[in-house]
Amino acid sequence: MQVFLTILVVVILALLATSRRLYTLRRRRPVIVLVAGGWLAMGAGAALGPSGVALISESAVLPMTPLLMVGMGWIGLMVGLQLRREVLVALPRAVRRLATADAVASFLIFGAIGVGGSLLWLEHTEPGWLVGPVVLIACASMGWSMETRSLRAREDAGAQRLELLIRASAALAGVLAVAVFGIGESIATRWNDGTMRVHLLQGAIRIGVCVALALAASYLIREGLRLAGRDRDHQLVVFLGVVALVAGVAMQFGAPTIFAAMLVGVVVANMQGVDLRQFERFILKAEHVIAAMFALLAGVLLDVRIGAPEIALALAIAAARLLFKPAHFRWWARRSDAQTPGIEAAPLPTDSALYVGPVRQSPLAVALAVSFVLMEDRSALSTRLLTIIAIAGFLSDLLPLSASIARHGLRRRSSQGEGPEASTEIAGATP
Amino acid sequence: MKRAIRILFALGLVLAFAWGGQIWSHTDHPTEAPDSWVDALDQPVEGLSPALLDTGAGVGLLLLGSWLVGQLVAPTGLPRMMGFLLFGLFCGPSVLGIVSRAEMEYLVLVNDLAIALIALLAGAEIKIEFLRKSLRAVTLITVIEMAAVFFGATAVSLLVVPRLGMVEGFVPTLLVSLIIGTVLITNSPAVLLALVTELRAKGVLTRTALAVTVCKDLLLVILFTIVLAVAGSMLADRLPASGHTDGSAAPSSVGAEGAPTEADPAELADAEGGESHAPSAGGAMWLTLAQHLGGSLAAGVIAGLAMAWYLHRIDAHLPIFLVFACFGLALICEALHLETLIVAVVAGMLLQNVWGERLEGFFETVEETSTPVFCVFFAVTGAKIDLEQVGALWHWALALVAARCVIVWLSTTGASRVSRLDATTTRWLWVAFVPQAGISLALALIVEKTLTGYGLSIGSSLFTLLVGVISLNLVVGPLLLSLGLRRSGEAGGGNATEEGDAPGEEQRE
Repeated sequence: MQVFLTILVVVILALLATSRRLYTLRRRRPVIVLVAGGWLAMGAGAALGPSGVALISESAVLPMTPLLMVGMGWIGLMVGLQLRREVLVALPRAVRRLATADAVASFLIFGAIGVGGSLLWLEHTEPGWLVGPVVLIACASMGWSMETRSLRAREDAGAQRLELLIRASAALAGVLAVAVFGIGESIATRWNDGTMRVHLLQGAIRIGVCVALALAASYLIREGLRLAGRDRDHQLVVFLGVVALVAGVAMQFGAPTIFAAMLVGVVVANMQGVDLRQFERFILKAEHVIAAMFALLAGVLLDVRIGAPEIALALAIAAARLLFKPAHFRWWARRSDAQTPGIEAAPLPTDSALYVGPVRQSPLAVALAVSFVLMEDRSALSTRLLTIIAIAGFLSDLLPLSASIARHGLRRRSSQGEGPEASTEIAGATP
Repeated sequence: MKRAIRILFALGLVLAFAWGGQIWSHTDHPTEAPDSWVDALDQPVEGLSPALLDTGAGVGLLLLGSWLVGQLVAPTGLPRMMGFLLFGLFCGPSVLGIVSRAEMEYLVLVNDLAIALIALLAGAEIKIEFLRKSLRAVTLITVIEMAAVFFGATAVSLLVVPRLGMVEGFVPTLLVSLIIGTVLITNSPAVLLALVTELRAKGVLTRTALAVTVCKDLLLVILFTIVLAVAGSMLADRLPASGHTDGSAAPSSVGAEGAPTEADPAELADAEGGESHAPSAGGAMWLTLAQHLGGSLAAGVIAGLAMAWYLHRIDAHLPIFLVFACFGLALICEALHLETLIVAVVAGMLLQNVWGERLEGFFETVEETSTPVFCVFFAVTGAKIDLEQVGALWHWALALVAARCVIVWLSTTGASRVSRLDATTTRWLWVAFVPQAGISLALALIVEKTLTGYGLSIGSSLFTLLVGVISLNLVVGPLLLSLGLRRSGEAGGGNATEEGDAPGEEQRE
């Protein structure tokens, strides 16, 4: 009963939030950030969940695990499907370098913050206990939000290039984050005596299982789609069946569901001779609803009873993002600007709110944290880590938002003074 | 041949991974969360039960595996749903045990979704225009078939029950036989709908079968409640109590006179129809029945209106809306102790008959979503078949199945002739009423729980017999129905007539 109610509330909110009626509202500048980051949905989840009014009770959350598993599989598949060979080849080298450099630097910087925080915060300081939280914090900090619309001020070719750089590198960094998270979480093994140990063999087995699952799933998808022909209902069976099976089996083996599903996506995206357009349409059609649902469920899982150490850790992550990400991005953007041929035609803008964009945490971070929560059987540590990452993400979204609003306000004021020419520029700012 | 090998290989892969995952998770994953994490933060931790952990993979296994087996059996002329059933049986606790009994408890969500969706589809198939024109035929067939099966199956049971040694004396034997007769009236709307959808059947036979099935469900709610209440209390008076009353299983609280006063219908709800029949004392029984039926009809209208509002005003993400609207229906029915089947049928009828043309996209979505739902539903139903129970009384069960088949055939054919249906429909309509599935299993469970609640030991042996009969009907029924739909020419829409054509119209003209 409670489970039904929970699911129903979550879905009604998700459906309404993604409805056409609310589309106009979602186009407003501050709302874009809140919606794109999933903060509204997450806030609603937290308000309804055990931490809030408890309409969705603690006992109702547990049986929802299979739903979360499948949702996680869906997200992983979406991430993996981006890694098509042709797309990767077509990507400018600057994007690949930027994403890799960001992943490496983020792993070191935020991993160090994670280690420091964990040593101060956790009772257990053996490597086995630290790997999970540290890898999660480091991977959640890789990349940035792909959303650029809220920061867009003008639509010249240079700004468009900058937007493309943000989006493409964010997508690639997301893939790297899931990969590192998958490998990192796989090697931390919980033993039957309750201790956590770093166990490379267990990790290798789990990763091997994920790879085998990906290969098997790609075979199943190929055969399934061949058998299904053009029947959409049969294609739906293949899609749902594979996602549920991969997510479930990965979970049974103790491997991160999101990682296994991403590998499936990668293999599927690069399969030869299979028309995947229908398949991709299924996934993308439900993208917004799944995202909203997932954010709501993440909100339900949040543990708001956190103390000063957790808040300090969240602040440290947000501050590190603020200090490191824009500078790092600007440096790489300038470098790529100098190296990319044809740059004279459309130089990157020297001053743009888009440069602040990388401060914002990738929405994938919350998905990784939820994956950690699932792997840890919703332990207190895992739900608090989810809360920390959510707070850090929210804080990191606030700065560019306020910068954007301030810029927008200034422009509007100046346009009122300058007449129709300036207002045309602002009109172009709203997509 | 190559196709079959490829499917078998894919099936092997699915099974291997699901099995491997289960073995790994059961041997390596601790069933309790470690204390060390708790110590770290002084917070309690809830560990995932192995069954819950397996559920995600279980859904994938049942969905993909049953669909593959369905694909495998389809070229042989067997209905795909037989493949779904067989795969469920194969993976279920009776054979391989990859899907455990504990895991099936978590699959109740999927089951409830399936019931609501199937009923919504059934409702959408019933056109008011058709009902108006064929009211006489539908009423006659419903009444004659129900009465014939009830009395006929009761009579056959009178011969079978004494040989099983369940009860002694004529009256107790008659009472047990009446219960058996009532359960054997049911036929499966899910099987009917699955085959109609799979074979794309259209025509008088299809529509008449659906209309009669829905009417039978409405009447069955009343009949079953009365029979179980009367027979249960009389049996309790005449038979010595077993002395063993399982409190957890007993649905009814036994009153001072030994008669049940109240029961929680939600506890009784299960399977296909979410049936929730509780015996009540005296005049209160009629009031409960009226509330139950009236409430279900009213809830169906409200649900239909709410869905229509969404479809007109929001009109986005239809597949996801549909899935969760069905969850919503199941939730409302469980909370208010209503019949999911009736509520969803009424909602579907309302949507189809009032806004049919405008909601074409929605009904397309309903059809598209039905295949995955059927896959899981029938696989779960197959997994519920207990081969041990079927094997224990198989010859008696077979005798009852054969007798039921003959009675259904004779009564339906006779009623069809009286209703002046066309020759093809008259010949094949009976096959629609042979399959039994979820509703019947749910009724059998209610019988067992109610009799156990009275302290009677015959509950479990009666349940075993009923499960045996239902399982055989579940296997034989779809085969006959598939044959009937093909032979009547309605498979593939071959015998489709204009919307609203009444049965018998052709002959009358």
